[in-house]
Amino acid sequence: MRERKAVLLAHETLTEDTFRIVLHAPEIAAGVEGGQFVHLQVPGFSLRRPFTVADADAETITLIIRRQGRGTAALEQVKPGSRLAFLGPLGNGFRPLPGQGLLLGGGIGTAALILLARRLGSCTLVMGGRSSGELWLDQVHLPPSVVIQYASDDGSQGFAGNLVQYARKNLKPGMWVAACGPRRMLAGLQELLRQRKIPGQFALEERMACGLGACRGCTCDTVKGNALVCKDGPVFAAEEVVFS
Amino acid sequence: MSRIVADLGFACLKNPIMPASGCFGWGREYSQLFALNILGAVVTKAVTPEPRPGNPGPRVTETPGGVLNAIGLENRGLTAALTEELPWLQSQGVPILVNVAGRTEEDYVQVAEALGDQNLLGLELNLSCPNVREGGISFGTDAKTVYKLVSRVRQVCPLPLVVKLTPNVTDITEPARGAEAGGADALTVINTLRGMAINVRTRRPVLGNVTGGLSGPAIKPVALSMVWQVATAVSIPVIGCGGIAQVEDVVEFLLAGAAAVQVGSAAFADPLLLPRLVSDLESWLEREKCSVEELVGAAHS
Ligand SMILES: Cc1cc2nc3c(=O)[nH]c(=O)nc-3n(C[C@H](O)[C@H](O)[C@H](O)COP(=O)(O)OP(=O)(O)OC[C@H]3O[C@@H](n4cnc5c(N)ncnc54)[C@H](O)[C@@H]3O)c2cc1C
Ligand SMILES: Cc1cc2nc3c(=O)[nH]c(=O)nc-3n(C[C@H](O)[C@H](O)[C@H](O)COP(=O)(O)O)c2cc1C
Ligand code: FES
Repeated sequence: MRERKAVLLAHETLTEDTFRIVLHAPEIAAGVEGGQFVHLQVPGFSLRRPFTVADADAETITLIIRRQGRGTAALEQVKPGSRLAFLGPLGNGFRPLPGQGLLLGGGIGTAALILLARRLGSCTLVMGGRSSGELWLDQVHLPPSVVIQYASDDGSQGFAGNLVQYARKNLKPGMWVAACGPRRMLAGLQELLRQRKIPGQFALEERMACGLGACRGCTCDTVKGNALVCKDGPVFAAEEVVFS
Repeated sequence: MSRIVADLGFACLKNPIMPASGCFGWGREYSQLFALNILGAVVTKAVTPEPRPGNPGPRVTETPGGVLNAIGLENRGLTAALTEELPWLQSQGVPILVNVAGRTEEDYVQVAEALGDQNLLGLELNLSCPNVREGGISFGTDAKTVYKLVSRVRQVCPLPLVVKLTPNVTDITEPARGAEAGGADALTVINTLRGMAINVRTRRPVLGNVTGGLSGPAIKPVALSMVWQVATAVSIPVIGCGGIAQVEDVVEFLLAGAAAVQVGSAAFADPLLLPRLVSDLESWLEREKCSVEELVGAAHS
């Protein structure tokens, strides 16, 4: 983990509200784990913004960003050639378990699973959303051994229903689950995993100030008490997280 | 003596730059980025007698030019501070101010007494905490309460006492004088200003605690004017705090009468800010051919 400055190499639009930026970061690109994040400075803002390292190759890291408020809107305007400061890689990534991995990404949460899918080589990666217009995973190049599927609430693409319903139908003994998405989805998955006795890991989100474990701004509730999303997470064992 | 040395009266620091309490933990995380002993001192997260779980989330958010936080003084309590945090920090070769908080006068007394024989630069009493005996009004709002609290702590603890004042008062010089009369060796001015933010989409307050403390560049002019006022009202040294983000801000606080400064929120945007301020201040003093000592309070004359 270090403070770095990286040149923004490319900037692409994926959907109406989601874009992808590629940063030149050879010092971390090869070693970063799926689920780890960077804390990115947005020029002019008081707090940094945390983003999962969605993808990486030998020289670059890719962030996939959904426009949420002012900070992400400002990031969308940053031009290729600009330099962005970030701390990273931060936090603990996913720890692959034995068996077939089922990776479930709710909307932008899918960004947290792409690098894991690439490193696993063989697994199933499902992106869920309200309708086909929100689903951008077809614009990410993954090896054919990664099976890509979709779930949409309105049935316009792939499985008709949400990811908890998808999992209820498709989870098989011997699988393990990695998931990132809205809390309601993760809470539903937690219940399902418990019933089926299937292990899982969840990547959580919480508002952050330092990103390092110093300010205690990003606590979440776990069966062991308070934990820090930035330092103890963002990936937690599914059964540890307390959703309330 | 080097230009950059800061004189706190009870001690001289190698420079006037320190982190603000709560923004730096116990320094462990930042020690991965730079050596802590390049700082004038380290100010720790608040210590209360018992562990405190803190407030429900969200606990932090950004507002224009600032940060709103409602951490709720989450900390692992006095025992963990003494056995796990302090020994490590004491091995880093940097002067330490331990920030102390509580719900009752006895809480402060208990923590101060237990820390009294430690090798520390001093204690920083955080008086922004709600006083449960007085209907939750913070200790720092009433000069008599401040006087009583500081003099009681003074009796049980031989360490230098720095009293950190809340800006959420009508006239900050009153609690400042109360602290001085109670035996404070220095004052930290200021803690966060009460504030809030509402999410217009959910129509609910953003912070789990509803209100929080505002910090960052947005509060700098307020902090500066309070340092100015307090420096005129008392004769003990003042440590300036609030919105410092660049070397010119440090110089402004010194000119207003601060003998040293603390930097909190701005280090979230740039985690290397503290070491940079030390070297920028060195260059600034070199260029202007003056010393910290000459700058302190110079704007008053
Ligand atoms: C570990 C981690 C990984 C993440 N990875 C991604 C990713 O790969 N792609 C992506 O698009 N988003 C990701 N997010 C969410 C992203 O950080 C927020 O959407 C972003 O900070 C919003 O900033 P804003 O200024 O546009 O929004 P605003 O709502 O204007 O932001 C106000 C404040 O709240 C914080 N905030 C708002 N929403 C969130 C949130 N969901 N999580 C954390 N902080 C938030 C902001 O950082 C800022 O401090 C991740 C969050 C975490 C914690
Ligand atoms: C996340 C956070 C946690 C804080 N925790 C404490 C604390 O435990 N004790 C204390 O006295 N002040 C605490 N403060 C207040 C700061 O020490 C400082 O007084 C305030 O943030 C103003 O300085 P700044 O504008 O440089 O941040 C905290 C501030 C923030 C932002
Ligand atoms: S963001 Fe500061 S502790 Fe996690």
